[in-house]
Amino acid sequence: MIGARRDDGVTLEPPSANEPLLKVEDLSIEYRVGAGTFQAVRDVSFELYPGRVLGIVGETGCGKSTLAHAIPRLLPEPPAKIRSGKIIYQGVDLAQVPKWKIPRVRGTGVGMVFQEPINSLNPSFRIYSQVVESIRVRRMRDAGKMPSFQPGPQAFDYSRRPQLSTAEAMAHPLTPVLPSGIRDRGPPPIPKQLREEVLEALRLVRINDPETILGLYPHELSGGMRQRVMIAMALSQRPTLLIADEPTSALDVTIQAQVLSLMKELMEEVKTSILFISHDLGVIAEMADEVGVMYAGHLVELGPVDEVFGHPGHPYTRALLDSVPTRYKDDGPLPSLGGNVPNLSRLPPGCPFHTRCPIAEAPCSVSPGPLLEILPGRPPGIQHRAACLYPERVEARP
Amino acid sequence: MPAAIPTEEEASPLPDLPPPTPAPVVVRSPRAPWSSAVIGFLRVMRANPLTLAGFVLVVIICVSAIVVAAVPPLTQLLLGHALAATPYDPNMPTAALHQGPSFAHWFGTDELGRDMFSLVLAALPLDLAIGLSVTGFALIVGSGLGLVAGFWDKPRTLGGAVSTVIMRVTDVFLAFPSLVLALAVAATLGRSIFTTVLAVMVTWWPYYVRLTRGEVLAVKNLPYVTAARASGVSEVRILFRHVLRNILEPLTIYYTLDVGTVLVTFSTLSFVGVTGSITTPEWGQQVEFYQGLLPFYPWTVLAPGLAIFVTCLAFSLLGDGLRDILDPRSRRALIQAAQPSTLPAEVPAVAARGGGGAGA
Amino acid sequence: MTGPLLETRNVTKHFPLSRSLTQFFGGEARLAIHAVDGVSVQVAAGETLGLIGESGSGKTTLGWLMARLHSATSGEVLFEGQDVSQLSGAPLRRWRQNLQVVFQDPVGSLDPRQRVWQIVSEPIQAQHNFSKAKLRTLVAELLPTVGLPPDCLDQYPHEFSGGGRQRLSLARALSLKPKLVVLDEPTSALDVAVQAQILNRLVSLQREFGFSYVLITHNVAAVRFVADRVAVMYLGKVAEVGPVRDVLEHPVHPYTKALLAAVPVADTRRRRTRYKISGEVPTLIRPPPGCRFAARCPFVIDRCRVEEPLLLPLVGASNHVVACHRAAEVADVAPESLLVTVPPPTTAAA
Repeated sequence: MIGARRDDGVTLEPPSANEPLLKVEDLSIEYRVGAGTFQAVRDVSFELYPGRVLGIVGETGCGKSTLAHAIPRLLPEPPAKIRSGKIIYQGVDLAQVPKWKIPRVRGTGVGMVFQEPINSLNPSFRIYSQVVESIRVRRMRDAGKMPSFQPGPQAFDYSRRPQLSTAEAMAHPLTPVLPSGIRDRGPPPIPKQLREEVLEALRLVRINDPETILGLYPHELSGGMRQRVMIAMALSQRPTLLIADEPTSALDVTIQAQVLSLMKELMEEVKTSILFISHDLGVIAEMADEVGVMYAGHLVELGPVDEVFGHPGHPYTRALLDSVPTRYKDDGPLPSLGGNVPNLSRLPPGCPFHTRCPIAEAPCSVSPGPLLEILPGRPPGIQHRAACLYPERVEARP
Repeated sequence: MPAAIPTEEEASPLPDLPPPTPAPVVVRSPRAPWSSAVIGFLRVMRANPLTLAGFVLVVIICVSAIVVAAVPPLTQLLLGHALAATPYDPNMPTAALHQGPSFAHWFGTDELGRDMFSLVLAALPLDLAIGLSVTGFALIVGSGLGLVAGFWDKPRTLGGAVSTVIMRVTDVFLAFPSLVLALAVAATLGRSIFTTVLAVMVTWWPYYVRLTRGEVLAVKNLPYVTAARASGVSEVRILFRHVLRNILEPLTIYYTLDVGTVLVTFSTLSFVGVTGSITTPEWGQQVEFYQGLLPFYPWTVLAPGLAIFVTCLAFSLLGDGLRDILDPRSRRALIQAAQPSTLPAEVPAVAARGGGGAGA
Repeated sequence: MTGPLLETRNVTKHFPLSRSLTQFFGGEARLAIHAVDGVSVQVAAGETLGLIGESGSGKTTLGWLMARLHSATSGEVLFEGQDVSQLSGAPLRRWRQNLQVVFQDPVGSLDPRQRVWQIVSEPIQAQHNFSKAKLRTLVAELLPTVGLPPDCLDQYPHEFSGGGRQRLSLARALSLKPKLVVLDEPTSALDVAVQAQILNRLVSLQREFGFSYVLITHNVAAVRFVADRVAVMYLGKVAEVGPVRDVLEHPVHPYTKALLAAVPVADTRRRRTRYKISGEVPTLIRPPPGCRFAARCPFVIDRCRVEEPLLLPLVGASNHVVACHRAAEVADVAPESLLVTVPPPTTAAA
């Protein structure tokens, strides 16, 4: 299956590694609630290259989740509205897609994994029927029966998946622990022509005994297992871009570590790119290649993860990194950030952070605020950008 | 009203402050509780014209009912002869027979020449009293039982046993078709308005038991109830202060909506003749009385019908709006629509981090 | 005082499951969820005991048993030497002034219909019959100690941010100056910046007033900063107890190692590709015999599957106890060995 038709009949070339897979330009999103307007996302720009993981980190209400939902146009519109900007995905500006065509954007090349898999799986249907549905949709799309914007050559083919060595396969295998009191419901009635693909989808996420899982209802699975099923469903769409919105925040740490390891392995195998949203700096450090830091709707810093975490270029990033407790009680109090996140309907002029910033000067409060610019004095070739007037004053971390 | 009340650390630009020097604490006198409620009420009314319409209608209905009921005995007392508060004496035929609605007779006249508007208005006090009293009875009895059955419902305890008994009795009453039960009660005790009211009361309370118990079950395990228990608050106090206070709102709304439903049910019973022949005007009976005239003089049937409809509608509109008035959260939200305290970023149902932490 | 402030002795909590009719008449035994199974821990006056573990480890249940929000199936909960596990009614309510709880959910644990002064003064009202003016004065004096302005007495909880609500919870718990405060996941719903403020506040309040804390959390970082001693729980059992530095820097029990290795660190130099612990937490309905971690343990031997390990002190460290048959052998294995690490990515794209 090469170069399926787009709506307008144009055949797309496979994405090359030097072309960004996703390019967001000056994206602004607002919510209109009652008489008020909230700028949830303001002038955010970034690129995501094929095969990379871009992490977006920020506190509650910074707009990271809004951003994640805006890309596949999953935001409820209204109250949300894309006010300006572009979301260029494989050559198509998704922000310009008219409202009635929005359903065509979804589930076609952008996979989503949400925080709470219990809410993302329909509680009334067994797992198999939900996986089957997802695979059916993809098959219809591949057969050209569904008009869609994302056609492109798929990067992944199950048959090309490298077989894991036994030792590697032992790292994750998950044989389901069945809750007691569940009667055997017999083998799940999977349609024959889809059977292999359904089982393969679950084996891909290292579920040892997929038939058992497929016969269960979502509430009968553990949190980690549900999230694996969600990932399997998202990947069964053969996405070129996977958007993971806090995929492990509801999981325990040891399970989270398993799921993160799994996602990393799958990325290699499936050749997908991930936009990874999280509030947890540790998870981002673990997963991301590049990281964007959001504050009050603004992207205040963007760069390679070790650069950003090692030599932050924005005082907010620094403060955020510092507030993770890493010391004992007798080592003195934790450094903590004073002030409040400003109200998004009445942001101060200038830099959104200047009211809380320890290094702010008079120019910081002058409108318009600083732009995301490549930091001076850093090794050449490193695209480390920060929206701060005095990035050189932000100390490197030990 | 700021976005959120800043805490000391949040308000201070410095990360670590020494503990604050104890300043003399000035305690403002408490705001009069009614003043904020009244202000909130007025703002909700302004924000929501339908509620305002319902409220105005309910006030008009209640005031008219009082006037209509009170004027004849008062005038009897003061003047020596009773004056009707209605435009015409409802029982005195006028010269105009079966006349359509006109300026003189807003709802027309019947075939005896009686003014339909005066007839409908004369029935208002009785119908309203029935609506309010039946629901009031159901609210007190049903909700009382529901509170007990919900709050103390623990398996293998005395409370659990009492709860089970209450719920099974309720189920028995619910299982009867209420109209048939009412007919049976009326048939046993004889036809009269009183037995009809009794019959409706008997069939009405079980719904309130169910409703209240459901609400109590939803509230009684909320964290703040556990928190109160951990604070050492006694069970009875928890029941009234935390549980009942938080379910009052759905109960009040349900009560308000129900006034209209009771009226319809009573009118139905009245229509099928359970009240017997009575001299007091009553809407359901009026509909029944004039039904034969519907093809020829439709206004005679429509007038009492319209009265039932408008009363129901008024209470329904008010009931819907009460939700916003009674809940401090939505009251604030309505008032401060321009500047809510938190960003609606969590609009997509996948809230960013809600109760993310996994408890044991 | 000589003895511990609070002590649990072999305390057990089972939540019975209901049986179907056929199971009932078939004579099947009533199954139960073994939430806490024979746990003995102590909390000394003025110290903080951290309880860490994952969902289903029983840490919250144990905290609730200590606070007498659950009654124990068996075993004793001694507070100042007196068994409180069988208290009820008025004596129980009077005893509660010694021990208060801060709950996880800063939204749900505050009654939305109550004003600040009513919420915060609730424990006082439960113990004393004070006038409204006196209660308001007490609350207004209390609020600054948790970092809230004293003039917000008439606000409703929804007018506060998440951190502000958790401060209200804290103020309520501290209003009677209890001897012990059980903190049930106090910061898990908060952002890191707010979490740091609350944790600082907890520590400074403890220094000032000498409260004891029991901190229940899955957040290792919070335990590190607040706790003096840590108890690690897994599947209703205590796996390891010891001073916080010893347990976090030199964990002995394989589960503690697995837990610490799994915590993602905001340091790209410790980035790893793979986590070597497989499997999920088994069900608590029929807990496996022997060590409860045996099914996932990388160091498991046959003995672990049949014989339950006892909590025994380590050689040379009497206050660090571990329930592992191979404690001596695995003591020196570093948690990092459970990870496969790779160097951080070097270049950016483009």
